[in-house]
Amino acid sequence: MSLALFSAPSVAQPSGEASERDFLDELPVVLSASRLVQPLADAPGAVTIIDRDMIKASGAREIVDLFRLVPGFQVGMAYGSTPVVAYHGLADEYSRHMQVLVDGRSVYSPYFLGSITWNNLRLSLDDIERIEVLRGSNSAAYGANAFMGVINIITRHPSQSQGTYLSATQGSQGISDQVLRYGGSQGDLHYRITAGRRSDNGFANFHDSRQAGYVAFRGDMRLTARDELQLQFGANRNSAGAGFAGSSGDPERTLNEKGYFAQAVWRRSFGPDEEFMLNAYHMEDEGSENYMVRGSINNPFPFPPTLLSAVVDADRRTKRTHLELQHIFRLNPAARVVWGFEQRHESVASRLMFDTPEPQTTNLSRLFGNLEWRLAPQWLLNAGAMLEKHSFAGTDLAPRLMLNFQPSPEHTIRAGMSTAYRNPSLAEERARVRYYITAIPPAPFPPLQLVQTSYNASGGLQPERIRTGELSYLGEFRNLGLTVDARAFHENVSRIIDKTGSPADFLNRHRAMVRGLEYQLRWKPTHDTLVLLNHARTRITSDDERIAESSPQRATTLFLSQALPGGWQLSMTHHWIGQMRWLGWSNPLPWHRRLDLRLAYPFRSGPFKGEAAIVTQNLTAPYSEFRTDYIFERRNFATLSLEF
Amino acid sequence: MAMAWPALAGAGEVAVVMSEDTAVYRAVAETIQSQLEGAAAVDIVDIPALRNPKRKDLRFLVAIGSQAARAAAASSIEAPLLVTLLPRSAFDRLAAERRRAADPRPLSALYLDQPIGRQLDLIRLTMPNARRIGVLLGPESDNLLIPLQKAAQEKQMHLVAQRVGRDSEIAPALQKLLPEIDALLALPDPSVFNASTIQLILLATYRQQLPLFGFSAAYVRAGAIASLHATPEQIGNQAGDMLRTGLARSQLPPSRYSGQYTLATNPHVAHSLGIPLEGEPALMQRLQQLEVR
Repeated sequence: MSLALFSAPSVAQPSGEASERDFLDELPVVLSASRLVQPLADAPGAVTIIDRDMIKASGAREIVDLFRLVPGFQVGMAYGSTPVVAYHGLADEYSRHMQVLVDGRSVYSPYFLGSITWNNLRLSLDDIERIEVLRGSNSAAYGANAFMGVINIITRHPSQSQGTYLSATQGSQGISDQVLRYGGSQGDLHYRITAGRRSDNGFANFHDSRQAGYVAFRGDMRLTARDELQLQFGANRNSAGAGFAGSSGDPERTLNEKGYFAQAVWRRSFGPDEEFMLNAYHMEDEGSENYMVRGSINNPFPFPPTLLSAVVDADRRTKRTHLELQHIFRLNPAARVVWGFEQRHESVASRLMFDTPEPQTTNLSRLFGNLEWRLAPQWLLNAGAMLEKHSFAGTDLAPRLMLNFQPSPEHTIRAGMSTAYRNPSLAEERARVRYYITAIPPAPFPPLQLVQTSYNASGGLQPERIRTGELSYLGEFRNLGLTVDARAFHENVSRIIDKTGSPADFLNRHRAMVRGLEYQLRWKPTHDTLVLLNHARTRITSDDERIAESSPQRATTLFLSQALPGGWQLSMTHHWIGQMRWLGWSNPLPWHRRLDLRLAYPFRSGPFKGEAAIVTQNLTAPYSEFRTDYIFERRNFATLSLEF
Repeated sequence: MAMAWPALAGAGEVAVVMSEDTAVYRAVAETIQSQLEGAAAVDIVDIPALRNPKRKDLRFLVAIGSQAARAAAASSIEAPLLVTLLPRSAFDRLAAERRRAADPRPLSALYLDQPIGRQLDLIRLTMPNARRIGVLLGPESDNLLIPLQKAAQEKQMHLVAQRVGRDSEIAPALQKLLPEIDALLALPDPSVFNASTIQLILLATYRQQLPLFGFSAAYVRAGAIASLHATPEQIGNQAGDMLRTGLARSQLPPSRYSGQYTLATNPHVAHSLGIPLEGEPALMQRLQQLEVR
């Protein structure tokens, strides 16, 4: 019998039984250097973290709603249902002073003046793991465009969202959103695929309804114990109303957009303190917006007016290719270094903007480094800089220095200064907008062609510059469940680019001094209760009075989330926002209040897990969002989600 | 094969059989060999050598690893068997089989895993306020529930357990478990903790800002805050000690856990979780003091 047993080549280890292999075998490095979140006390500046619980409790329907919960931020909905997000004002309908990254991929659009196209993120709120908002400029780590701050959106690892997820939202103002997600795995590959649709009617009395459809794929594959490959793809197709009823110069029309991206990130991890990362992505977006504008010139009696018409070809196509290599390592037990380089190529083709079908291109090369040096147990120095070579804005060095002093585990005081730049966009540098007008005068005069130039950029712009000095405090009182985060800032912005003249030219025209104090108290006394209190005081002085009014002087937000008996979840947000104005196509907005409520009931039945929620946004009186005539009325919607 | 591997017909009083001829098993075997130098001659063999069970003068048979242990237990060799470099659950299964077969041959073990009490002590030292210790129990670790609960009680801790049958049940189990606990303790059960599930487990615990305590150096590299484990040399040393005693008394000492062990910590993970962590030597010293008491 024993012979029979041993005639087998070896005694197979029955699967599922513990053996020494469990102790001896290698495991993948999961919490790698880039995945480890820096404790807030070590962060080189003020950071607001928005986690999944917060995203849910906020009742946010779209990502921009979340930034209403970050001190110092302004959020609005501009022309054509375009969301705008600003920190400390200085923003128009193209919010371009902030860098936004989704899993390390810049979603800053190079089209027109440059902006974040929040409607085209190809991302569902449910796929977000957390959002880190770095308040204050950080070009040293994130390059130009990280001018006033950085929004880092980190999506969930697919292993965290396995199975099927369905969600449907229906509400007033035509709100109708659906999300379908499936997460699965195949050997060492975990993946998820999300498809979603979002639509609403925008503001009453405006032609600004929008529809967005998207698919997004993320696959994470473990190649070896050290190597991980992440692949992402996404595509979207949007349409939004633009123009005004009865306007012949800005007629009602539909803007159709579509685009896609592909991204690959390869990480090689040598343990928790050394890692190489290669990040490559490509994205293309195009918009089609072709319409006819009409006008007329009155002629002396008895001649009828001369009729004018022009075809506006606002079709555009933008592309970006980005390659980045980053290396994190420990210099010695007290010092950690992150360094790397990036190469980026961007192009924008727009006949309307450049008066040529030829794509306009930008090349960008960056070399960056940051040293995190623990000088003494209580002292941490972060010194970083980025050298950026831009094909027409020249070469700039953006340095950043932050000293953190932590006299006890509860208290951290940070002091620092930085210089950052925003490169001029292609349109600011090269815009040449010409309307080719056909004029039909009264008979017997023959039709004639006219050219009207509305933008003629002279070029040679310098990047906008911001010099920041800041002092901040972080109090973490774990036994009370209380976190205090306060930031006092002094931001000296110069060479602000603005358009002027007729035809319009872009010039480095203005300066602004932004000073203020903002804080957030976050109190989580028990697992069931969360209270946030944000307050921001901002004062801007500028040679341009519109800029001086571009941030509310006072803004306060109170957020409460409470678990109720029976499993119910209630949350409430109340904003008090002072008088302000957005720049560009806007006018001064009076102060307003806004109250949002959310009531949710999570349930579980067999393999099904789900939640039913109702949200009311702006329970208080209607207020103006971006212009006085963009009235934000009460919005109600209900969401049902199911997971199995 | 007979050239490379002395058959059990060799001259030694102690035969050490390895599950496979790789560095780890070699390290244990050679440490035993050098430990017994002067006391007994040791032959190092592989599993097929057990087919030749003619030896009568063999005093002890040592099996390194689970496969070797199973093969040695199934062989007809009469000598008392010491098994090592295997987890306690694997040994318990062997011992139960022998009991069922009413096999009278003496059997003893030096376990590879660390005693639960010692692991709880480590959690206590790194997180003095941790009271609720979570575990995920699979088919292999299910029977640990009672001893775990008892050990936790002795340390004034509370054990919170979730049962997991299949891979797909891990995520929902963690979702229930993590809000209820202060730390998660990994247990050697390959249907719950393995190279493909560790990612999910570590990401989920980390998201909840909770530390995972592992049971090998690989766990600490992967992202566990700390682990206690015995190195192959430490196992070899202890097995050598047991054999010396055995040779002197002509009887194997009873099964036990390794008294020598190594502590590994991941200061980066601890720092990111906001858990102040002492250096490894200081922590080790305090742990050993606790055990003496």
